[in-house]
Amino acid sequence: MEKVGDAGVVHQPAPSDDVYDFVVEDVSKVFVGSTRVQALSDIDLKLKRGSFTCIVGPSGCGKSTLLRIVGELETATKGRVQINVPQAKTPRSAFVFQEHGVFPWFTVLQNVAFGQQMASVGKKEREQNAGRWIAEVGLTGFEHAYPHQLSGGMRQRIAIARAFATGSPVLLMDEPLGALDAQTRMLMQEQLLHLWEIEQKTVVLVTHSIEEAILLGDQIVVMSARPGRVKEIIDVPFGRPRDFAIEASREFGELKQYIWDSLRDEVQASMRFS
Amino acid sequence: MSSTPTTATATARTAPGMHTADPELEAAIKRENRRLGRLRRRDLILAIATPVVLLAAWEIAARTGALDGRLFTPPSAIAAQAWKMILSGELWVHTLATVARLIVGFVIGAVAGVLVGLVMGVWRPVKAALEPTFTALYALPKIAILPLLLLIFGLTETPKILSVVISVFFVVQINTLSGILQIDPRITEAARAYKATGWRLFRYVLLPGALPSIMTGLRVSAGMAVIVITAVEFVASNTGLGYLIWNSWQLFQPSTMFVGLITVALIGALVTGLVILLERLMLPWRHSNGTKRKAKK
Repeated sequence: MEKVGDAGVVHQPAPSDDVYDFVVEDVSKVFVGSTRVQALSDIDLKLKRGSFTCIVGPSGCGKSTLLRIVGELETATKGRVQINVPQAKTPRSAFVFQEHGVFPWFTVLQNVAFGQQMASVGKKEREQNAGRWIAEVGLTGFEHAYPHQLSGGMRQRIAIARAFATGSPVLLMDEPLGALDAQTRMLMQEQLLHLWEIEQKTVVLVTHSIEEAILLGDQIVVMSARPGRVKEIIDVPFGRPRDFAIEASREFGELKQYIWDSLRDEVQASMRFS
Repeated sequence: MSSTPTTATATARTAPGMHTADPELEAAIKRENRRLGRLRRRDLILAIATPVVLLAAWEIAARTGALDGRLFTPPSAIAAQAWKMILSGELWVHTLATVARLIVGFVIGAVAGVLVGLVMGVWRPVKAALEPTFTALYALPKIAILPLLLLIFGLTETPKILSVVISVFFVVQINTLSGILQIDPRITEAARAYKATGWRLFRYVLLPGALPSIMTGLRVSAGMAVIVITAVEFVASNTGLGYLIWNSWQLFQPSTMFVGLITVALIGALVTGLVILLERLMLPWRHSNGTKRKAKK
């Protein structure tokens, strides 16, 4: 893969809604092991600065792999990813993983401050900042608790606070709410909407919930069964700020039905694999 | 505290409400606390009663001749013998000799084991080079190489301490290595995503991740070290508790032998207890009432 950092990119003088943080071109990924697995095939995707992109697709379609390639945790076997995010002291992208992403040996405060600690931010400054984000996700009073003392929903909020506290302009989330019960999940979706509206980061969210994708996203990327291809990119017609009220609208129901129709064949195809 | 997986917000919102005074509820909570207290006291009494009853039975059996008093010295006579040996300084000499060998051997073996285990866990070529050989050596009963060590070093302190070092080293090294290898890959990926590299990756992620396993290694090897040093002193020493026990068999002095056995048992318990204490200090996040928690929930 050819990574083009800030230096190698000609910044277009176009209006701000034409700035793309990531341009994924013709990316394929093959995992080489005892058997070869082609996870991704010819992916083309543009991520506008400050946009919220949701990726849906059948399990095993390479959604997470695509997210990892965008976040530089994985390299593409073929193709290139153009990254136009300026490299600062903090990492370009902050991750939220589904589960097990928080360090059990650190307190809530230490976990949330971890990204800034790795970016060599002073203890006082990073803990102050972490305290602010702990308050933002409603964990004030639990700063010195260890993750195992908290519920699953609270642990997931640690992960979200850590990603925001790192201060990266890009947020990459891999089914961050997947393991939560329905009510906690709704609360967290509201919280994410709220946090994103005040911070305006470029967000990519991998999810298996169509409702979640419509509720949160500006655009929804529908992926096909393995090897993952971009089947369709749908612009979400709802404006901002948004809340759960849109779920009651006819448009919401129609869009959900449309995406499900698009996904159904792919889910069936992926079930034949396994 | 970690028992009920209530949803996050519910916990956060109802927790302060727990303190509102409802006399009926408060009374019920007090009753429950008293009941738990009674159960704990009963457990403690039973735990102490068992050895006391056994010792009393032994004393009576030895005095009435149900047990051969020449072999099974009654507890009172053992206590008297212990007191005599403490006053004469004999017990101290042997205890100190054993404890000194134990500490020196354990510390050297543990430090080397942790270091080598960590290096093997972090650098793949080192692991590839050393692991098969170490695995083979691990299976060798360490006490079996004592004659070789005696051959090389003679009847000095070195072979005794080295026996402990070698026994401790392999157990700690293997546990440390597996501790690093067993760290959840999702944890190391999160560390990578937040740009933890080099020393920081080691200090904040790999080391704490491997620590529970390292502690297990230390606990197991501490018990083993006591066994090994006693066995070594049986055959290759004229000081130490192992020697005391062995010698009192040859001289047919069961009361001295019992004093030696009890002292070794106490040392074993003490060493294990210290390692468990160390474990609690090093792994506060493992215990639900970790020291860093503020009383809130």
